[in-house]
Amino acid sequence: MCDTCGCDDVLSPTETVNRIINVEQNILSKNNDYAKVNRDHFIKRKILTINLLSSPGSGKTTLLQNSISSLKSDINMSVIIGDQQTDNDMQRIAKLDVPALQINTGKGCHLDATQIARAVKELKVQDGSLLFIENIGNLVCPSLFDLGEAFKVVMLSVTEGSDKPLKYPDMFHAADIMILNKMDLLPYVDFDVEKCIEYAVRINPNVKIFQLSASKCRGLEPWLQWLREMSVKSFN
Amino acid sequence: MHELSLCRQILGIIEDRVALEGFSMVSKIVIELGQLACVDKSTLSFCFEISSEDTKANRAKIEFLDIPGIAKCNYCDKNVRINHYADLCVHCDNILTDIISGEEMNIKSLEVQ
Repeated sequence: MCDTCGCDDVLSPTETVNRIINVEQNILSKNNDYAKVNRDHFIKRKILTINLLSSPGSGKTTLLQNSISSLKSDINMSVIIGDQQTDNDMQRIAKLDVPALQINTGKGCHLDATQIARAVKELKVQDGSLLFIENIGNLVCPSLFDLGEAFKVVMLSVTEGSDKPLKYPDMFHAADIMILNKMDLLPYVDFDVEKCIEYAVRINPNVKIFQLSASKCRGLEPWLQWLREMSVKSFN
Repeated sequence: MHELSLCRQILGIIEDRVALEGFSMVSKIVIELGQLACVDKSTLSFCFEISSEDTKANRAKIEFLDIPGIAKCNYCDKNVRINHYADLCVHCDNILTDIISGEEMNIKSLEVQ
């Protein structure tokens, strides 16, 4: 008898029956599950995790170097750095005597939650510390992959276009913080700060914005103060 | 190209289902895709064709169900169709804060044998 409708037709052994399986599952659910495990671990261990994102060359590593130099006497910190190739950025961070681990993704264009779980274990990230994750320089793919971080910080420099928030809306929509970097170069470039902020706020009305020059250490204090405040909240 | 990573995630979900439901082949994958989701349909289909070789989903067709982008305006309290996160309310020209739909990226169902 037919399995599908109960009729008397007999199916030959070679015939197959299609059936529908309801799945109703987010494509990213596996990564999201791992991210949740990371997030629970970070909360339990009082680890404040910042996922730093930008295009290549916006100044992520320089911001980290100068932020770490300013904060390391008060806060325990460690850094996970993602790049397709080389450990150049890790070498720059390691000079500051903070634990740093390089993840080379090879062909991969973003970090995912399982890579972070492994790195946290390998780095032996301390309880009550600040963990920076410098993501791969890319404004598209990393926006999709939750790592379990407390905050996504997207960085944009004034040597790029003012309309970058409009061009890469997913990233700016996902971010909690936007840092406008290389402000010292503003007199030399055609960058409209007001327009850029207007676009960013239209895409993400809750985004908090810092304007600074990481390499010249100008305007860094509000950003550092925010990190201090968030650290105190996370560590207590 | 994150679509390739998404294909790996899709194949992972299918593998889990094979273990649960015991099928030998997937002929169709129905994906709900929000219009605001950061996914290109043709790239995803292309990447899937390549990454599903030697799996039970080899030659499976992907069917997309489009979910429109809708935001609720907190100023005029109306629901508004949007194509972009930067779109303003068409009724009162204010910034939209609450996305109601359009970010979906779900495997809805599998047709299997």
